[in-house]
Amino acid sequence: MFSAITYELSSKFLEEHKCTRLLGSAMSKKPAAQPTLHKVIMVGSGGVGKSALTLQFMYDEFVEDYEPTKADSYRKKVVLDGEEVQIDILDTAGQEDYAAIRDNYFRSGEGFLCVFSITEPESFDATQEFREQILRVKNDENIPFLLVGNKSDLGDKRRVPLDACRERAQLWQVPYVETSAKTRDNVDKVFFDLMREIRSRKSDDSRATNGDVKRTKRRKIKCNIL
Amino acid sequence: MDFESPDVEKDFPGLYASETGRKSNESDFSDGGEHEKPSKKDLLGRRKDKKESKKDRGYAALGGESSPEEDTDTKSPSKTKKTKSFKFPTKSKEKREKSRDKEKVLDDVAKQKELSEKEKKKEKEREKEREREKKEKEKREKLREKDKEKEEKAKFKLESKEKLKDDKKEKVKDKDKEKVKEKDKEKFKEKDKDKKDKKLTKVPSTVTSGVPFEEIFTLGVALPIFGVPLQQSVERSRCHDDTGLPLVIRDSIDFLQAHGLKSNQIYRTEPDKIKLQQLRKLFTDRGPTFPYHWDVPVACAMLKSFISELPDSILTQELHGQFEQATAIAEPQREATMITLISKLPACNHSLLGWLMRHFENVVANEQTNHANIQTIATAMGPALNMSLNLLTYFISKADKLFPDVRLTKYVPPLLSIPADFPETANEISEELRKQESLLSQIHAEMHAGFITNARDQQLWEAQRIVTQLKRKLRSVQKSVEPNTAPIQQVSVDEKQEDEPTRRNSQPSEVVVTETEIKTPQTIGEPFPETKESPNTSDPTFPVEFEDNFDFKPAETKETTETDVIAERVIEKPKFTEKELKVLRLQLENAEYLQLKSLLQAKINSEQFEIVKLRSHVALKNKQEGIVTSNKENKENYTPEEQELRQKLIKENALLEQKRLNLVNQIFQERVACIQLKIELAMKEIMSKS
Repeated sequence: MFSAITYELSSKFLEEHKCTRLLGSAMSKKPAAQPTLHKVIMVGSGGVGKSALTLQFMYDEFVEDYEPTKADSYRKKVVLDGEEVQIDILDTAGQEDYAAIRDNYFRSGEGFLCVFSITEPESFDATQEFREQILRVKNDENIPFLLVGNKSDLGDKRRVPLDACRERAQLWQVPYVETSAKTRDNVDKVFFDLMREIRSRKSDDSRATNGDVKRTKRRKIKCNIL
Repeated sequence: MDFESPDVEKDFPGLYASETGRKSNESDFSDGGEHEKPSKKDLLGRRKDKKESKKDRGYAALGGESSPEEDTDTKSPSKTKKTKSFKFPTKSKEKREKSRDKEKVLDDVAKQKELSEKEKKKEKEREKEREREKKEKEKREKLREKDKEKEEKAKFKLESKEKLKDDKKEKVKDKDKEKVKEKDKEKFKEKDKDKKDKKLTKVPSTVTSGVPFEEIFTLGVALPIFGVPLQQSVERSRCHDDTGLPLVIRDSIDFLQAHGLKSNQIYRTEPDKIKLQQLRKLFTDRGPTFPYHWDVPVACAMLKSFISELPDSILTQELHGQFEQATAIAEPQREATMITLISKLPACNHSLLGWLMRHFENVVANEQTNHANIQTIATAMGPALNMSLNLLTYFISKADKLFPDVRLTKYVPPLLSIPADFPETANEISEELRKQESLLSQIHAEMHAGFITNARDQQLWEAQRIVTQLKRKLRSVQKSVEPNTAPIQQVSVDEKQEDEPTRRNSQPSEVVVTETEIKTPQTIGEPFPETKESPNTSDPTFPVEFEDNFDFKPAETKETTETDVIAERVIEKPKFTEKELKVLRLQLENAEYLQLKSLLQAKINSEQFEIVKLRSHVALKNKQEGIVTSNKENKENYTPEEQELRQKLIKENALLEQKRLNLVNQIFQERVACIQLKIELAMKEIMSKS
């Protein structure tokens, strides 16, 4: 009887000890190995190149064959203006079939890359809807957001005029960038620009209320530059 | 909350009903946003809201004094108080300690309350019902003040319970007459005296039911896994592999298989109730469990309580009787009947039953060391399983024959991150991938149910990342292995699709036809089984291609045994003589058609009933509106427009009728095709097993 109790106690103790050790090691790792994390979400219609942009950014690879995404998530360590940060990229489905899944992710996204193809006016039209959806979920007009016109390497097949894109970006007060996942043109730029926006947004948030006004000013200036 | 405990429900159904009624109303009062983040402050606020709402309802109850509900209340209050007194001190060890510390305070408060109540009662006597309401308000306000004082003194959970109790007491008192109140007071005093004793003895029952207040709107409470239909329980908390078992069951069996088989406590010793409740709560809240939460009696009791709380029999309502009857059949047929009955069970019931019986089989096999025989298990689990000793004995002794596909393997939960040395074989990757996807879909489901927390968000991203990582790995592994045979694969898929319609056409023909087909499969129709197998044997790369197109799911099973299967199949065929095969197929077919027949018969019966009903309706209407209808007919004759319309409608109706007939035909054909496919599947299974 006694031996059973002692056995139980000792095993219990060992288990707890293990747990605390595990916790301890995790804790000790965290501050060192856990840089700030920015959560980026790719949105846009199907086939505009969200996955291609993501894979190009993540692994420097360009995938020719098209395979619709349901949802994919990636993490990468990058150096943003001398500071090591982590970027979480969520590559969502363009197809409406997966809209329910998408919504769960929108809530936790901190910045959005709204992608369309400059060769496909329908995808450009769809950005309007994505924008609305994001604003609805995030309930925040100033959420870090970039309008991205992809497939800039296919300039000869361009069907969305540059002016229209700029106009829409102006209207939303967001930056507009044209990229090519194939040639890697501006791929890093969109991700890093977005991360900068997220970062400044976060620091503004932590600086509490009076930072709000400043941020909107700064954002406007940025838009003009672009 | 204590008063919701099932124990109380059993004893005082009336009281319980009224409580739950109130509760549901309250939840309407608090807005949805609060549900998501039950922070302590929110809860405090909500509790106040609750009180107010309860107050209002109290008045309403007072207004309509002679409702039957009240009668039950007046009869029961003394009892309800008793139960409350049991529950109060019993939440957990900590709470008990707290309550001990605070008992003096509580006693004082209780006395104060009694005094104030006495005053109020006198007032009530003097005044009439209308005035009563106002006083009640005052009373409640006073009590609330007291509660606030208490809040400062006592700790969080304790207080909440106290308040609730106070509220309840008051409600009861409002309705009660003086005599009853006096009794109450006596009980109240007794309660305080008994507190310490009862605390110790009664602990376990409340821990189960007594969900701490803060957790009321958590996942575990909103989507419970105990006491719900098995299917739901599996959806809410499942093992993320293919077994389709609820996690509770899997973990319990895993533990018993690992630690219980040689223990003489198995299915014999009563569990430590506190430990059992802790574990149950962990499962309810989907928390992780650690080895020190487990021991053999607790695992047994966990199994038992989960099964006994299932609303439906594990053998399902419809089949339970048939199972019991089947035990009486003589042997050669009995096994076959049992197997067909088992195959009719829903997937989750099938696997639960299979795992339990295989596990019991293992337990009994170790009788030498654990001294547990079928009798022991029957005494422990029989009532929960609701099976006769005969049936249970049969299941256990024939478990290997009845559930040959069930293998008790230890559950490996989905990984939390991909280790660097993760195996590079397609099998292991796709297995893990499936687990992760199952986990992911569960997280999504929980979020859609409205349970969104930062932790769950994080979990979602992490699981998604692992899935992505695994998919990439799998793809790279496949690329290195896969030869370029994609076109052939697509052809084979097309073939199947083409096959089906032709098969369907041949289906309505007689059973005899299919019989001959088996003998000479190449001659007439139905080339399905042969053509399907032949590419497999001839082209060993087939499974890999398969994998690419079908979301990896069939891939794994195919690939694991890729070469083995081919080898086996070659050997298998000679094992079965054609006669045996024929008989088997006919048996299966017979069972399926019988089932279909009974189903259709039932439908016919219901339709006939409907016809009779409608006819009587028509007859009634005709009697009532006999003159009106004749008038209408006259009108139709008059206007040509209406005639046109009528003709149009007649045409349309004819068309629709035609369509309907076509559809009915199609449905029938599909059904027959389904049966054929089912049989095909069953045959394959039998072949692969043997």
